[in-house]
Amino acid sequence: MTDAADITAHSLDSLAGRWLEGDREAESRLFEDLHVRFLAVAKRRVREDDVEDVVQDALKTVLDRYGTQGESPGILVWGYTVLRNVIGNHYQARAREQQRRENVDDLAALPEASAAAPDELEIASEEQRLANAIADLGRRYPRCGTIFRAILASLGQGGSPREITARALVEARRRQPGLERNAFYVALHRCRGYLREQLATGEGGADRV
Amino acid sequence: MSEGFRCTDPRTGDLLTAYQLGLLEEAERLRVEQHLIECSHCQELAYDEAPAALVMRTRPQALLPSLERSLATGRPSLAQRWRVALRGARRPRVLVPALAAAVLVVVLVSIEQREPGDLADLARLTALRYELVDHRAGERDPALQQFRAGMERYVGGDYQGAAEHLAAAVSAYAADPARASTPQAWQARLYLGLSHLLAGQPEAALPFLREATASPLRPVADHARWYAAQALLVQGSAQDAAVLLRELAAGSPGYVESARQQLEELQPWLRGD
Repeated sequence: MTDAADITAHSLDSLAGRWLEGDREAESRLFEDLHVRFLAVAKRRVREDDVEDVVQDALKTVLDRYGTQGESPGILVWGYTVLRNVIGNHYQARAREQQRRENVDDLAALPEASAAAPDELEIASEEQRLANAIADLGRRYPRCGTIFRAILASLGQGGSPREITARALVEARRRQPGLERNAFYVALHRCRGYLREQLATGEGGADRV
Repeated sequence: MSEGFRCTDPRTGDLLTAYQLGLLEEAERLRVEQHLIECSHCQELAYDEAPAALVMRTRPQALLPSLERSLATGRPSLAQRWRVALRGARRPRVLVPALAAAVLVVVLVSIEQREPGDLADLARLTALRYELVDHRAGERDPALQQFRAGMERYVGGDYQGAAEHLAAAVSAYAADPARASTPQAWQARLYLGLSHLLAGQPEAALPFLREATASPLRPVADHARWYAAQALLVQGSAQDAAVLLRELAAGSPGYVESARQQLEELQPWLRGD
């Protein structure tokens, strides 16, 4: 197992790209790295006895499903979403087990485990919640709304990271002439913080684990 | 869960959203990924926000229509909020005090409703480290006693308490011409200003920090410039803050990088909307 401080010279997405092309070494390094990251998060949420099982379940889902649906949304973003689902399923499984031990009849009241890999239904549900929150944020804070509009419009057009950023910057500079790239990223991150608050106070959406 | 942790490297942490949305080049991606190994705060953020980031990356255009509509509608103007606040208060005997109250409320709400990405968010209000030193002479020196009492509270995070004692120390040093320019006197001004700032009182902080920028001790003067710039950012004075930051960027050993980065972040405010 890789020590947490031993980081490869390639980003996770770069390793993922090489893995999907059949590079076994890249695959090995990628999954060692993901293992360390998943462990760090899972340890704060799951009992020590169950942590490794949960992490292995998540890694197996990533191994089986990443890259199979055409879009490659960033392996860590996708992987953390999988891990969230696996941990959620773990809690539900424990709750069902607990209820079973207490001989409760209405096990049907407990939700069934969802698929670990984010599916269409889950993404659509999150999409609605996010759309409402972003719209509310844009109403309250037009500067943040402008930044998100610039980013989302540019993401929709696709391209390399440089191309996406360049287009978004052109758009954002209509409101803030001279906005520099790094300041744009910082503003985006700050606005994301307010969006997070918006989501936290909004209705509906997936439970957070 | 990220609330229990603090980011270990805010300069890199600020790139997290750009990373999650796939906006960074390889070198910056590596930097953020390294940071995510070391920083529990950003790990938790990345984990919590993964589903939303996934949607933004894979279905960005689905999120645009409602956002476009909200931006087209805009937020209520001050006049509109005033009219809403006054609605119902039509009788003259009610209207005048109600009017005054409504104006006050609307003004306060306008002041309080800072837009995210606003200037104050750029301020970096991390306490300057101080190591307490034993001064035997302090037992017979009231000014030094007050300074020590203030710094004990400062180190303990009681900035309001620190300010009270440090104010007494500054007054005591100022009253004695022979001691007004000693290293402790300059330090007392610096830490008094800093204590006020960390206690959420930038207006009270600025006079002392500005005074300390005149210290012949380079580190004290540089610290004072930096924190005076932060106080000005909290107050919303981009241009004044930039003056101090440019001085630091021009050659302060401890602050040149931080000052340059903050100047970059300030650009939108320096050129105006």
